[in-house]
Amino acid sequence: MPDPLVNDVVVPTQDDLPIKGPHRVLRFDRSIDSVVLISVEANRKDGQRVFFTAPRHYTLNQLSCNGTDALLGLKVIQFSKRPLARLSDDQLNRRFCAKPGADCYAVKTRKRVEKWLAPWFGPPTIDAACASGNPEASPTPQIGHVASPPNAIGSGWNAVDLFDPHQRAAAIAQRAKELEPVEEKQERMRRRLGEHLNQWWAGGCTRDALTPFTQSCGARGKRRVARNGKQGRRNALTNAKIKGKEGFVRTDEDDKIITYCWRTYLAAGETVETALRHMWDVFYSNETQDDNGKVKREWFPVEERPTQAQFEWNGEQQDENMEAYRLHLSDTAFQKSGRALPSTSNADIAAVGQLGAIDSSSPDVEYVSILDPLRRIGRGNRMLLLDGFVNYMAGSYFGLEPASSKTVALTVLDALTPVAERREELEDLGLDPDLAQYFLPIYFTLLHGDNTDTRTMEVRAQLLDIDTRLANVAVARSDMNPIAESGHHKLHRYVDHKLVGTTFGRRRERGEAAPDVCARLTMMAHRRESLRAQYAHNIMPLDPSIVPTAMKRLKVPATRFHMTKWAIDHGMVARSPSSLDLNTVRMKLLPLCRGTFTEYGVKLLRSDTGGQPVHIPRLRYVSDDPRVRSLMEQARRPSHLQVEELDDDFLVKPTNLRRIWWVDIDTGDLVQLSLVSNDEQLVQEATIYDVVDMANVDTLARSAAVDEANRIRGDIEAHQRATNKDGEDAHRAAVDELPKPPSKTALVANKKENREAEKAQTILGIPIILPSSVESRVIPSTRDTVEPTARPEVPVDDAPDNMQPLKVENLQELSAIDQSLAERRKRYGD
Amino acid sequence: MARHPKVTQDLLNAWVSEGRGFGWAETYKSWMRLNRRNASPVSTQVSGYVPPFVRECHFFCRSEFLIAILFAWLGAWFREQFPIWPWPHPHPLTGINPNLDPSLQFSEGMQAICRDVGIDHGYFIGTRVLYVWTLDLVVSWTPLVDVNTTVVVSIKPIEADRFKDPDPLCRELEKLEAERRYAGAMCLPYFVLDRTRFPGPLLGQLEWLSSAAYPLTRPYDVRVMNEFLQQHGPALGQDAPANWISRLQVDYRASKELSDYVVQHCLWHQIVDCDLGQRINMLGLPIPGGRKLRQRLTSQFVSDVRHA
Repeated sequence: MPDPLVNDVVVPTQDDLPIKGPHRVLRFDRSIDSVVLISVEANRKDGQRVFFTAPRHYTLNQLSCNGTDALLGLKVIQFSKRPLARLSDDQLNRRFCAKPGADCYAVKTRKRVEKWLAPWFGPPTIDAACASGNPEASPTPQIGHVASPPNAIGSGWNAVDLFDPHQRAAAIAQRAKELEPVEEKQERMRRRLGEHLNQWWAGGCTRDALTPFTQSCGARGKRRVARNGKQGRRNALTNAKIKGKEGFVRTDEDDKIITYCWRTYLAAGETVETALRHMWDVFYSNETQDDNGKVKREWFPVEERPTQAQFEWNGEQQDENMEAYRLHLSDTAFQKSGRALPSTSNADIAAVGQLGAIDSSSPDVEYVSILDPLRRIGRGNRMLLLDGFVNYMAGSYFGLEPASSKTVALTVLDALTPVAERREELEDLGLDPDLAQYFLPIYFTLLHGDNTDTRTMEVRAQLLDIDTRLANVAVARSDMNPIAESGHHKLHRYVDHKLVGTTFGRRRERGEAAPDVCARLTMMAHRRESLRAQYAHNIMPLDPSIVPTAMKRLKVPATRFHMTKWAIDHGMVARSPSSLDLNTVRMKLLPLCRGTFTEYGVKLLRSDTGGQPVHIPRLRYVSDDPRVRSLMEQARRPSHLQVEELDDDFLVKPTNLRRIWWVDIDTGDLVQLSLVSNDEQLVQEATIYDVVDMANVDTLARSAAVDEANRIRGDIEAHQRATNKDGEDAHRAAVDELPKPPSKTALVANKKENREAEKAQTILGIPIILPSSVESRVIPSTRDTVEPTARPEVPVDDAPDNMQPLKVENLQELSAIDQSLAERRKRYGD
Repeated sequence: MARHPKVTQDLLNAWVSEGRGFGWAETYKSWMRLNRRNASPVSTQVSGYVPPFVRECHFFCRSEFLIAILFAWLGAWFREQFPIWPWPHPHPLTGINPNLDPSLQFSEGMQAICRDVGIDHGYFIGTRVLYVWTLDLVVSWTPLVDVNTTVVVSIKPIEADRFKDPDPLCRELEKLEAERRYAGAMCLPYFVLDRTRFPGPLLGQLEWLSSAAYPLTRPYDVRVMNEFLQQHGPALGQDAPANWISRLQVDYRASKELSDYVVQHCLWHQIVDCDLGQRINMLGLPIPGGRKLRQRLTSQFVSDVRHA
């Protein structure tokens, strides 16, 4: 076995050798039979100071096996530096959180000791000495990156052999005087120099060896962490030498628990002990069940729980950065708001239509009626359906109906609305119909909702019919449907909370105006804004970093609409297994409304009148389909001649009155019927519910109108009766003047001559009626010099009664004037 | 919300008469079915079709749904929420293959197994009616359905804390052990799976393509697809899937819906070898490896099945 080199670490191979444990070789010289070894294991005196014992001289004989020089009883081993010694100055500064621009204690110590020892291990390089192999010729080796120190470190330096204890002591004393002028302090300096020298040799004669033993120390500003043992003084059991009961070693988790419990349980009126026991009960106990099934709590053993001292000391630290609140959260609350989120809700989504997130929410706005702006009708409901690929808003329901199976069906159908129908809808609402191209019809293979509106047998059956699966998240875990929830949140911010009459989604604060008092908008006005916001959401530019590379290369704009369209165009879209068409989906999803075929078309029946069929007014639907025409013709016949049943169910989209659909059960076809109406505003702004509401209002107005009509009829009939009576009285008076009543023949004789005489008093057959404002005056003639005889002016007051201008107030008086006019002509001439 | 009807023996008999827990393939009805009253506090429940069936399947967590789709892709037929009766009952494969029935053993019932394990069998809450345990999936590879091509799969989040640190009040591990013993008694391999065992986009892409797993029914559609595959099938691997769609639309005048369906159908059935464990790039060449992946996954469950 070759001889060990200087700086190698050796261990004895036999127990009878004078050394125990690993030692570093400082000198190995067979010629002078001298081996200088120093122990590399540090000692700790009373748990305080760490030191190395001084190097010792041995002879080869002492270190040989069985006392023979030939076989050395030493074995070279690999001995790595202690962890702190492996760090560079910068790393040490980071480890101990040194102030910027300053060094930590460990680095300062390195540099200081380096300076102290520099005169002995001065500036010349050790490499040259190693290369020449003549350490005598080299000046003192440099303290630094010494890879392999020379055989003799102590010797050859001003003839001082530091390995010799006496020479070493003298050299240390001299150096101490140089470093510490004050005599009282030189003793301490001598001790320190000696220790550092030993540390230098034991550490391998490198600068790193001078790193102090502060690996257990905390960093500046950091709390001391208990690693292997309990902090603080030993407990009674440990003092009594009982092993395994050293006490509770706190971890970071325990620190958080303690801080949290200190803040939460130590309320006013509670003592520290009570809070401590509360903490043990909640966090440091086990539930056990006895044979009777009774569950009880048992605390952990005392050495597995924090002590009162730890509770008080740690609790008072009150570190604001600790998020211990989550420790007391229930499982559900932690899952909702505390757990890490390694994935996202759309991580599995590979195509458009693969997942549709649906959820309902109130739009937070109070509405007024379209019939009367002063009538408040409360709030509506909105249901959103978003595609999981890039959160594109595909469909919505907006109405007064609360969330139910019907609204789910309407929402799914809205997402499938073709572009042509969407154009109409936008036009009706007063929006630009060209925006319809930005509303893509999307079919979903999976609907993802919560357990309120989507978890019904009706919804499941409907979705099964259109090949759509249904997923319901866990109870009270709407956070597991974040795509839909974020859609609501966006619309609330974009539009709902900016309209008059908004509730802002929260309770009214004192001094704030009541939303229903401030309400000004109809539901349709809000729907218009909502659709506009839906369009805006879909074309809003997004963060370009979310656009996949394939789309980026093709310069696809970073908007939800464009990315969705690109995916659809390139086949990344979910399709129905049975290639459903829109009519089939309509048949499955649209709500039914009872209606009847009449001669004028189809009229829908109200559903709120019990068994009595009452038409919804204003709505009449016709179609050119021969089947529909045939039924309309039959409706003209008397009921006993009708062959077909004229009442049937019709598919109605409540928000769009322009068309309804009828299912011909003989062929299964869907026949479309269109609305006939001159009331364009009704068509645009009213839903079927509004029309029914109007009918209710009309009913009230109708009864008042009927009464008023009766009044008017009664009035004219009364006048007619008075007129008849006057005529009858005049006839009787004329008959009374005659000696005897005329016969019927005499009465009706000479009718023709009487008629001619009467006509002579008329203009074109119309009796002359003098208006009351005409005055009688003389017009002078220029041809006649003789003063014409002036018509005697009859003062109005003296004129016979019949001459006085009468104010005609009614027809009866007018007929009386006619008679008197004839008499006047007769009496006075014309 | 309406209250759950109290479970009585008559109710169980009525469910059995309905056919719950019985049937095979399209006629199978799961013992436990999703309804208004059995929402879960922790899982997302899924109902709907899974190929090759059009019947409504009921899954009590999304992992079950995704893994069922995976098995469907591997060519297996499954029965979900399969009951393990508390009393002695026939083997789960009884009645499927008449030639096999005489060799299939009877089960002594879950009550006996629980007794052997030393755990409580359990009752329906608030009653003394024995609870009917269920297996998440019983998966069989066709056409030869026997004990060598059938496995029992339990789908549980085995990385969750409750499986690592068993609470005496939580019976998860007990249930797994009892299920394992039942499967062992029936000579069926038993697996515990979770979706986290299949990282990457595999499950998500299978979910997307599963809608196109069904054969086309309209004669025109079938003709278009057959002609397309006949003329271009061998060369499809050298072309991007987006180009297949264009070719179908231009050369065969297929509608967009039909074109998409044909392409997805080819990817699902591996008519074109495409590794679904990697994200499909519709504009790039399909990366081969899907067939090998399918075979490898199948062989991890059963050794006798070879895919075409």
